[in-house]
Amino acid sequence: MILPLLKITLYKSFALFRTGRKIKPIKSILPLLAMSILPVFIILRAREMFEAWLLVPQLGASFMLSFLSSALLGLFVVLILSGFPHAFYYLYLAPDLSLLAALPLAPRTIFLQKFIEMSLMGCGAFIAVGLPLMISMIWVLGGIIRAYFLLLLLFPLYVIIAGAISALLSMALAAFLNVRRIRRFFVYLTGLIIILVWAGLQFLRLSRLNPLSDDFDADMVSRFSSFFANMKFSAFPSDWLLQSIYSTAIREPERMIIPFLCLAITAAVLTRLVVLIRARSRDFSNPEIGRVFPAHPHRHSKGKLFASLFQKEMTLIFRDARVLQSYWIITAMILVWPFIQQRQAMSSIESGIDLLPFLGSLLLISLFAGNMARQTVPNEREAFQYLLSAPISIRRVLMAKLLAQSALFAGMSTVNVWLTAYRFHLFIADALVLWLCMVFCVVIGLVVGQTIGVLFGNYHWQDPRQMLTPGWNYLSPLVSILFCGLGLAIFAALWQVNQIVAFLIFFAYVGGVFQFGIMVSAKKLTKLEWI
Amino acid sequence: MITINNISKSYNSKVAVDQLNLQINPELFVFLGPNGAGKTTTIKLLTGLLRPDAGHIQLNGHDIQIEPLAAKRQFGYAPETPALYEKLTPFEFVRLILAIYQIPTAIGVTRMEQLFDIFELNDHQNSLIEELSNGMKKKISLIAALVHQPKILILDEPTVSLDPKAVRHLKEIMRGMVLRGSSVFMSTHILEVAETMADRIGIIDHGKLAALGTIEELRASFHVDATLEEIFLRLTGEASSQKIDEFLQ
Repeated sequence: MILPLLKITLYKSFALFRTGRKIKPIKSILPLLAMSILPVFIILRAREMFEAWLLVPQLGASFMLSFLSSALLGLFVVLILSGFPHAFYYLYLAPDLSLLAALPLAPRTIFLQKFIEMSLMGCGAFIAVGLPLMISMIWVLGGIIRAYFLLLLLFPLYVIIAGAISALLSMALAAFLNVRRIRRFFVYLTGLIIILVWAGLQFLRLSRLNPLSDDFDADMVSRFSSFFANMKFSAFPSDWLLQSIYSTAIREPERMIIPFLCLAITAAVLTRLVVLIRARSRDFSNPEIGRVFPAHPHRHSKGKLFASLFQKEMTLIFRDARVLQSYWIITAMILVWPFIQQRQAMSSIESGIDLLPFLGSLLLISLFAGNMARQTVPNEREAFQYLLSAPISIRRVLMAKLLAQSALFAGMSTVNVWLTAYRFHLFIADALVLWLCMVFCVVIGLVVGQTIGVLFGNYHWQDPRQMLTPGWNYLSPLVSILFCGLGLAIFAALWQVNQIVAFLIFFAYVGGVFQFGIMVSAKKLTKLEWI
Repeated sequence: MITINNISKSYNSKVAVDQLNLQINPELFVFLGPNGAGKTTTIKLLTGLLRPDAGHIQLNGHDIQIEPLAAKRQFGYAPETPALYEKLTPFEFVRLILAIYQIPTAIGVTRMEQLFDIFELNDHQNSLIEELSNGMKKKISLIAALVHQPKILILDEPTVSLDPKAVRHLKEIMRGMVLRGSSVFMSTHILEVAETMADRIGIIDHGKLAALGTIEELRASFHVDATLEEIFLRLTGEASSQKIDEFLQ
């Protein structure tokens, strides 16, 4: 009975790549190509680094293996922690659970399918980072085809073990705590982990471990070596996977038997445990949470429609765990950015060229703003029909959305500029210039993102993530950067001539982009048909 | 008053509504028809969620295409599926609706509390909508349509998911609104509701109006003392008894 259920799981996985309408084959490849950018980049960079290590006698294969083992162990911990929200969702809250429960299916079959589904959804981090590292290792060791195949066969076991640990711990928590509430907590925690990993990598800079790089830091390598020497990696599934693949890659298959067996048996036992324990409780229903929000004073009366719309936007942002998690991540990146910026301290912004060191943060915030804004209309989901059928101008709805997001991004910009000014000893006037530029870039990014979201939407109201066509999903950041870069270029060119004129022209440019974006978006949405 | 003047709507090559003409006075008008007959499409055309390929719709004298905001101020609408802002509470959602329709606070809050009381949502008004049952969501959707006391009420399958008590209250509200001069346009599959409550009934099939009139007029036009169910089945085609027998065997 599990096979028909797994077929559904497979269809659901493929559905993530569907847009709901017929598209040219080249367009259907676009999302896959875009998603492969990071893994390909990691493969190429890691290969270069591993090759360099193999050439240095003090480092060699053992350093590479220790590095990989610790990287995979770190990834294993990330997979476990990020697996909690998936476990709560698939094992307790999935909407199809009640339907499956009503079918003549054994609970074990249902939860086995749910567990597989959960593991599939949780393997993204490994495919993006872990798999490329392993491919690089096989590549530098001679690229034996059998090793690649074995990697494809074994990595699901590693992912399953991490998922099973998350599931078992989730079930233990679910026995005492409210599932929805604890899931929300872990969604935020996952966001925090992503932030920490990202920030850690920014400060660590792996290029310092590469003997071929200008950044190479011999002290750091020796610190890593002593750290690796003190670690007992062999107790962890990450090392079992690594040893299995490594042994195959160096043509010593007999050495892979024990780690392989450890991996396979642990995965099988843990899967069995998850399914048995979850099936025993037989509680298929979605537990109610009963969260109560205090009713605020009725302060919105006639003429305060815009305030109501703004408040609605803010409430939706702060109560949607997915959206809030994105804001967490962006906030952390914006705040970490001043500390990872490599630039010389400078006296003041006297010419347009003096803005160049800040270009990265200006474009980065514009890109993030664009990425968030393109989801705002899709995030309305099917409730948007209430606004479409209500006596309200869509222009106002769009402006309320932009204002809510501008408020959040302006807050981030303020802290970012304050940190930048503190770190690089900027004068107040220069910090103010930088802050204004950043706010202008935020507005440009938001308007461009929202406009792209509206103009090139698929209008799949059920799933906001599927709303944009695949091509535009990846092009929209570029468009945000392009518009923002153009504004900054005009500003920088005029700065030397007259600073006030430069600001006024930049302001006019932002105003023009804003007006145009709102106008075309409102026009499109007003004509939208709710089929 | 609703005036539907010769409207047509097609999806690709499929005709959903075909040259429909209707005038709804201050009355309770029930729109019947089999699945896919064009009921929801007509309602979406009335509310401006769809644009007609041809024809015009006026709501209290305002053309929905020419003066959309003025026309939309005339009606309250509850869709068949109550897709609401799941992350808001019923209180917050209805308060947003009050702000959109610019109802003064004191009046709006009183009405909101009355409706929460009638539909027994007092205990849930500050819970997240996503945590409520389908029936409760439907009630919120109805409250949002009623709270600004519209002159026209457009309801798509309003009784679906409601408990009998809520259905009874809704019927009383609709009847009361009609007595106070409002027009109620509702679609339903529950023929009993149509038979006992409707001032006039319209039956749509394949996008065309197949019958229109009071229940007595419909009976008279068929020259029988038939029930509404029999008239409906005669107009829209009965299920073949032979096929049912085959299935049961």
